[in-house]
Amino acid sequence: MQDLIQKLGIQWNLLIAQAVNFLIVLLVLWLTAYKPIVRVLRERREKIEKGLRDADRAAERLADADDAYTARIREAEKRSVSIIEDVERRSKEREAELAREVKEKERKMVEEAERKVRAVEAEGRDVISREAAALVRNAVAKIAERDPVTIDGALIDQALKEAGKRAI
Amino acid sequence: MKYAPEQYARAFLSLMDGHPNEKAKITEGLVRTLAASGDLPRAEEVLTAIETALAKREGRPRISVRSARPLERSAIERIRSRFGADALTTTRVVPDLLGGVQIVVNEETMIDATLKRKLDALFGGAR
Repeated sequence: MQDLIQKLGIQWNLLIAQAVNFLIVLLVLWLTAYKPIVRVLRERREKIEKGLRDADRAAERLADADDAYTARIREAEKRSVSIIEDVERRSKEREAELAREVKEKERKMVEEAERKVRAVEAEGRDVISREAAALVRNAVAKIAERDPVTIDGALIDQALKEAGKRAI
Repeated sequence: MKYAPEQYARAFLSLMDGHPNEKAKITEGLVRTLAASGDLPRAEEVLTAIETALAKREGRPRISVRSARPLERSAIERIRSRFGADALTTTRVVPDLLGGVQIVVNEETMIDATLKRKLDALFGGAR
Protein backbone atom coordinates (compact mmCIF):
# COMPACT_ATOMS: atom_id res chain seq x y z
CA MET A 1 0.00 0.00 0.00
CA GLN A 2 2.77 2.30 0.98
CA ASP A 3 4.47 1.37 -2.24
CA LEU A 4 1.51 2.08 -4.26
CA ILE A 5 1.12 5.50 -2.67
CA GLN A 6 4.73 6.25 -3.36
CA LYS A 7 4.47 5.04 -6.92
CA LEU A 8 1.46 7.31 -7.46
CA GLY A 9 3.47 10.22 -6.03
CA ILE A 10 0.87 11.05 -3.40
CA GLN A 11 2.12 13.22 -0.62
CA TRP A 12 -0.09 13.22 2.43
CA ASN A 13 0.52 16.77 3.40
CA LEU A 14 -0.10 17.96 -0.09
CA LEU A 15 -3.20 15.81 -0.31
CA ILE A 16 -4.47 17.20 2.93
CA ALA A 17 -3.72 20.69 1.82
CA GLN A 18 -5.48 20.08 -1.44
CA ALA A 19 -8.37 18.54 0.45
CA VAL A 20 -8.53 21.54 2.68
CA ASN A 21 -8.41 23.78 -0.36
CA PHE A 22 -11.10 21.73 -1.97
CA LEU A 23 -13.25 21.99 1.08
CA ILE A 24 -12.67 25.74 1.21
CA VAL A 25 -13.54 26.05 -2.45
CA LEU A 26 -16.54 23.80 -1.90
CA LEU A 27 -17.63 25.94 0.99
CA VAL A 28 -17.15 29.11 -1.00
CA LEU A 29 -19.02 27.64 -3.92
CA TRP A 30 -21.73 26.36 -1.62
CA LEU A 31 -22.16 29.75 -0.19
CA THR A 32 -21.76 31.86 -3.31
CA ALA A 33 -23.11 29.70 -6.13
CA TYR A 34 -25.10 26.69 -5.00
CA LYS A 35 -27.33 28.38 -2.50
CA PRO A 36 -28.27 31.35 -4.79
CA ILE A 37 -28.80 28.97 -7.67
CA VAL A 38 -30.98 26.72 -5.53
CA ARG A 39 -32.82 29.76 -4.25
CA VAL A 40 -33.31 31.06 -7.77
CA LEU A 41 -34.48 27.64 -8.88
CA ARG A 42 -36.84 27.40 -5.95
CA GLU A 43 -38.17 30.83 -6.65
CA ARG A 44 -38.65 29.99 -10.32
CA ARG A 45 -40.42 26.77 -9.40
CA GLU A 46 -42.61 28.62 -7.02
CA LYS A 47 -43.33 31.21 -9.68
CA ILE A 48 -44.12 28.50 -12.18
CA GLU A 49 -46.32 26.70 -9.66
CA LYS A 50 -48.01 30.01 -8.87
CA GLY A 51 -48.41 30.64 -12.56
CA LEU A 52 -49.94 27.22 -13.01
CA ARG A 53 -52.23 27.76 -10.07
CA ASP A 54 -53.15 31.14 -11.44
CA ALA A 55 -53.74 29.59 -14.82
CA ASP A 56 -55.96 26.94 -13.20
CA ARG A 57 -57.81 29.61 -11.30
CA ALA A 58 -58.05 31.68 -14.47
CA ALA A 59 -59.41 28.65 -16.30
CA GLU A 60 -61.88 28.06 -13.51
CA ARG A 61 -62.83 31.68 -13.57
CA LEU A 62 -63.14 31.53 -17.30
CA ALA A 63 -65.37 28.52 -16.99
CA ASP A 64 -67.37 30.31 -14.35
CA ALA A 65 -67.50 33.32 -16.62
CA ASP A 66 -68.68 31.10 -19.46
CA ASP A 67 -71.38 29.67 -17.22
CA ALA A 68 -72.34 33.13 -16.06
CA TYR A 69 -72.29 34.32 -19.64
CA THR A 70 -74.45 31.42 -20.75
CA ALA A 71 -76.79 32.01 -17.83
CA ARG A 72 -76.97 35.69 -18.62
CA ILE A 73 -77.59 34.92 -22.26
CA ARG A 74 -80.40 32.56 -21.26
CA GLU A 75 -81.76 35.18 -18.89
CA ALA A 76 -81.49 37.79 -21.63
CA GLU A 77 -83.28 35.47 -24.04
CA LYS A 78 -86.01 34.85 -21.49
CA ARG A 79 -86.31 38.55 -20.85
CA SER A 80 -86.38 39.32 -24.56
CA VAL A 81 -89.09 36.70 -25.10
CA SER A 82 -90.98 38.12 -22.15
CA ILE A 83 -90.54 41.64 -23.50
CA ILE A 84 -91.71 40.56 -26.96
CA GLU A 85 -94.71 38.78 -25.45
CA ASP A 86 -95.44 41.80 -23.33
CA VAL A 87 -95.16 44.08 -26.36
CA GLU A 88 -97.42 41.75 -28.36
CA ARG A 89 -99.94 41.64 -25.52
CA ARG A 90 -99.85 45.42 -25.16
CA SER A 91 -100.12 45.92 -28.89
CA LYS A 92 -103.14 43.60 -28.97
CA GLU A 93 -104.69 45.46 -26.04
CA ARG A 94 -103.97 48.76 -27.75
CA GLU A 95 -105.40 47.42 -30.99
CA ALA A 96 -108.56 46.31 -29.18
CA GLU A 97 -108.73 49.67 -27.43
CA LEU A 98 -108.31 51.49 -30.75
CA ALA A 99 -110.98 49.28 -32.28
CA ARG A 100 -113.30 50.14 -29.38
CA GLU A 101 -112.50 53.83 -29.74
CA VAL A 102 -113.12 53.67 -33.50
CA LYS A 103 -116.40 51.84 -32.90
CA GLU A 104 -117.42 54.36 -30.27
CA LYS A 105 -116.54 57.25 -32.58
CA GLU A 106 -118.44 55.54 -35.36
CA ARG A 107 -121.48 55.09 -33.10
CA LYS A 108 -121.32 58.74 -32.02
CA MET A 109 -121.00 59.88 -35.63
CA VAL A 110 -124.00 57.75 -36.63
CA GLU A 111 -125.99 59.09 -33.68
CA GLU A 112 -125.02 62.63 -34.58
CA ALA A 113 -125.97 62.05 -38.22
CA GLU A 114 -129.29 60.52 -37.16
CA ARG A 115 -129.92 63.42 -34.81
CA LYS A 116 -129.21 65.88 -37.62
CA VAL A 117 -131.47 63.94 -39.98
CA ARG A 118 -134.23 63.97 -37.36
CA ALA A 119 -133.69 67.69 -36.83
CA VAL A 120 -133.86 68.31 -40.58
CA GLU A 121 -136.98 66.12 -40.80
CA ALA A 122 -138.57 67.96 -37.90
CA GLU A 123 -137.69 71.26 -39.49
CA GLY A 124 -139.14 70.02 -42.78
CA ARG A 125 -142.30 68.93 -41.02
CA ASP A 126 -142.55 72.32 -39.34
CA VAL A 127 -142.16 74.04 -42.69
CA ILE A 128 -144.77 71.77 -44.27
CA SER A 129 -147.10 72.28 -41.32
CA ARG A 130 -146.69 76.04 -41.55
CA GLU A 131 -147.31 75.93 -45.30
CA ALA A 132 -150.32 73.64 -44.83
CA ALA A 133 -151.68 75.91 -42.11
CA ALA A 134 -151.24 78.90 -44.43
CA LEU A 135 -152.96 76.99 -47.22
CA VAL A 136 -155.86 76.10 -44.95
CA ARG A 137 -156.06 79.69 -43.68
CA ASN A 138 -156.23 80.95 -47.27
CA ALA A 139 -158.79 78.33 -48.25
CA VAL A 140 -160.94 79.00 -45.20
CA ALA A 141 -160.63 82.75 -45.77
CA LYS A 142 -161.78 82.33 -49.35
CA ILE A 143 -164.67 80.09 -48.29
CA ALA A 144 -165.61 82.48 -45.50
CA GLU A 145 -165.80 85.30 -48.02
CA ARG A 146 -168.45 83.38 -49.97
CA ASP A 147 -172.10 83.04 -49.05
CA PRO A 148 -172.82 79.60 -47.52
CA VAL A 149 -175.95 79.28 -49.61
CA THR A 150 -173.90 79.94 -52.74
CA ILE A 151 -171.40 77.27 -51.67
CA ASP A 152 -174.19 74.80 -50.98
CA GLY A 153 -175.76 75.66 -54.34
CA ALA A 154 -172.50 75.04 -56.17
CA LEU A 155 -171.96 71.75 -54.39
CA ILE A 156 -175.57 70.66 -55.09
CA ASP A 157 -174.90 71.36 -58.77
CA GLN A 158 -171.82 69.15 -58.57
CA ALA A 159 -173.85 66.39 -56.85
CA LEU A 160 -176.52 66.51 -59.53
CA LYS A 161 -173.90 66.46 -62.30
CA GLU A 162 -172.27 63.42 -60.70
CA ALA A 163 -175.69 61.72 -60.50
CA GLY A 164 -176.08 62.39 -64.20
CA LYS A 165 -172.65 60.94 -64.97
CA ARG A 166 -173.40 57.84 -62.93
CA ALA A 167 -176.85 57.58 -64.60
CA ILE A 168 -178.67 57.46 -61.30
CA MET B 1 -185.07 52.17 -28.19
CA LYS B 2 -187.00 49.00 -27.48
CA TYR B 3 -187.77 48.31 -31.16
CA ALA B 4 -186.03 49.43 -34.33
CA PRO B 5 -187.83 52.08 -36.46
CA GLU B 6 -188.18 49.52 -39.24
CA GLN B 7 -189.98 47.15 -36.87
CA TYR B 8 -192.44 49.89 -35.91
CA ALA B 9 -192.90 50.72 -39.64
CA ARG B 10 -193.58 47.09 -40.61
CA ALA B 11 -196.08 46.63 -37.79
CA PHE B 12 -197.83 49.91 -38.58
CA LEU B 13 -198.16 49.24 -42.32
CA SER B 14 -199.30 45.69 -41.68
CA LEU B 15 -202.08 46.94 -39.44
CA MET B 16 -203.02 49.63 -41.95
CA ASP B 17 -203.26 47.04 -44.69
CA GLY B 18 -205.39 44.75 -42.53
CA HIS B 19 -207.70 47.43 -41.20
CA PRO B 20 -207.99 50.21 -43.78
CA ASN B 21 -210.99 51.72 -42.00
CA GLU B 22 -209.25 52.21 -38.69
CA LYS B 23 -206.35 54.37 -39.72
CA ALA B 24 -206.93 56.90 -36.95
CA LYS B 25 -207.04 54.25 -34.25
CA ILE B 26 -203.93 52.55 -35.59
CA THR B 27 -202.05 55.85 -35.68
CA GLU B 28 -203.14 56.64 -32.14
CA GLY B 29 -202.06 53.13 -31.07
CA LEU B 30 -198.61 53.70 -32.63
CA VAL B 31 -198.16 56.93 -30.66
CA ARG B 32 -199.28 55.25 -27.45
CA THR B 33 -196.90 52.33 -28.06
CA LEU B 34 -194.02 54.72 -28.70
CA ALA B 35 -194.80 56.55 -25.46
CA ALA B 36 -195.11 53.32 -23.50
CA SER B 37 -191.80 52.05 -24.90
CA GLY B 38 -190.02 55.35 -24.19
CA ASP B 39 -189.40 55.80 -27.91
CA LEU B 40 -191.42 58.96 -28.35
CA PRO B 41 -188.33 61.20 -28.67
CA ARG B 42 -187.41 59.15 -31.75
CA ALA B 43 -190.78 59.35 -33.38
CA GLU B 44 -189.17 61.24 -36.26
CA GLU B 45 -187.04 58.22 -37.16
CA VAL B 46 -190.09 55.95 -36.99
CA LEU B 47 -192.03 58.25 -39.32
CA THR B 48 -189.09 58.28 -41.74
CA ALA B 49 -188.98 54.47 -41.62
CA ILE B 50 -192.72 54.34 -42.38
CA GLU B 51 -192.31 56.76 -45.31
CA THR B 52 -189.38 54.80 -46.62
CA ALA B 53 -191.24 51.52 -46.39
CA LEU B 54 -194.23 53.02 -48.17
CA ALA B 55 -192.04 54.48 -50.95
CA LYS B 56 -190.28 51.16 -51.33
CA ARG B 57 -193.57 49.33 -51.59
CA GLU B 58 -194.86 51.80 -54.19
CA GLY B 59 -191.63 51.78 -56.20
CA ARG B 60 -190.94 55.48 -55.67
CA PRO B 61 -187.38 56.74 -55.48
CA ARG B 62 -186.13 57.40 -51.94
CA ILE B 63 -183.67 60.19 -51.41
CA SER B 64 -181.91 60.99 -48.17
CA VAL B 65 -180.21 64.38 -48.23
CA ARG B 66 -177.73 65.33 -45.53
CA SER B 67 -176.37 68.86 -45.37
CA ALA B 68 -174.31 71.02 -43.00
CA ARG B 69 -177.14 73.50 -42.56
CA PRO B 70 -180.89 73.42 -43.30
CA LEU B 71 -181.43 73.61 -47.05
CA GLU B 72 -183.77 76.07 -48.67
CA ARG B 73 -186.94 74.62 -50.07
CA SER B 74 -185.90 75.50 -53.62
CA ALA B 75 -182.68 73.52 -53.19
CA ILE B 76 -184.57 70.48 -51.92
CA GLU B 77 -187.00 70.73 -54.82
CA ARG B 78 -184.11 70.96 -57.27
CA ILE B 79 -182.67 67.74 -55.90
CA ARG B 80 -186.01 65.99 -55.77
CA SER B 81 -186.86 66.94 -59.39
CA ARG B 82 -183.57 65.36 -60.50
CA PHE B 83 -184.64 61.99 -59.10
CA GLY B 84 -188.37 62.24 -59.88
CA ALA B 85 -191.20 64.47 -58.77
CA ASP B 86 -192.67 61.67 -56.63
CA ALA B 87 -189.38 60.90 -54.93
CA LEU B 88 -189.62 60.52 -51.18
CA THR B 89 -187.14 63.00 -49.80
CA THR B 90 -185.85 63.14 -46.26
CA THR B 91 -183.37 65.73 -45.01
CA ARG B 92 -180.98 65.76 -42.12
CA VAL B 93 -178.59 68.39 -40.84
CA VAL B 94 -175.05 67.21 -40.04
CA PRO B 95 -172.83 70.22 -39.21
CA ASP B 96 -169.67 68.09 -39.51
CA LEU B 97 -170.14 68.09 -43.29
CA LEU B 98 -169.16 71.84 -43.26
CA GLY B 99 -170.99 72.57 -46.52
CA GLY B 100 -172.62 70.98 -49.58
CA VAL B 101 -174.80 67.87 -49.62
CA GLN B 102 -174.58 64.11 -49.29
CA ILE B 103 -177.32 62.32 -51.22
CA VAL B 104 -178.20 58.65 -50.68
CA VAL B 105 -180.47 57.19 -53.35
CA ASN B 106 -182.62 54.14 -52.47
CA GLU B 107 -180.21 53.31 -49.61
CA GLU B 108 -177.83 52.01 -52.26
CA THR B 109 -175.91 54.79 -53.94
CA MET B 110 -174.29 57.75 -52.27
CA ILE B 111 -173.21 60.97 -53.92
CA ASP B 112 -170.89 62.92 -51.65
CA ALA B 113 -170.50 66.58 -52.65
CA THR B 114 -169.59 67.98 -49.25
CA LEU B 115 -166.93 70.47 -48.25
CA LYS B 116 -165.65 67.96 -45.70
CA ARG B 117 -164.94 65.35 -48.38
CA LYS B 118 -163.14 67.93 -50.51
CA LEU B 119 -160.97 69.02 -47.58
CA ASP B 120 -160.28 65.37 -46.71
CA ALA B 121 -159.25 64.73 -50.30
CA LEU B 122 -157.06 67.85 -50.25
CA PHE B 123 -155.20 67.04 -47.03
CA GLY B 124 -155.64 63.29 -46.83
CA GLY B 125 -152.47 62.68 -48.84
CA ALA B 126 -150.38 64.77 -46.44
CA ARG B 127 -151.09 62.49 -43.47
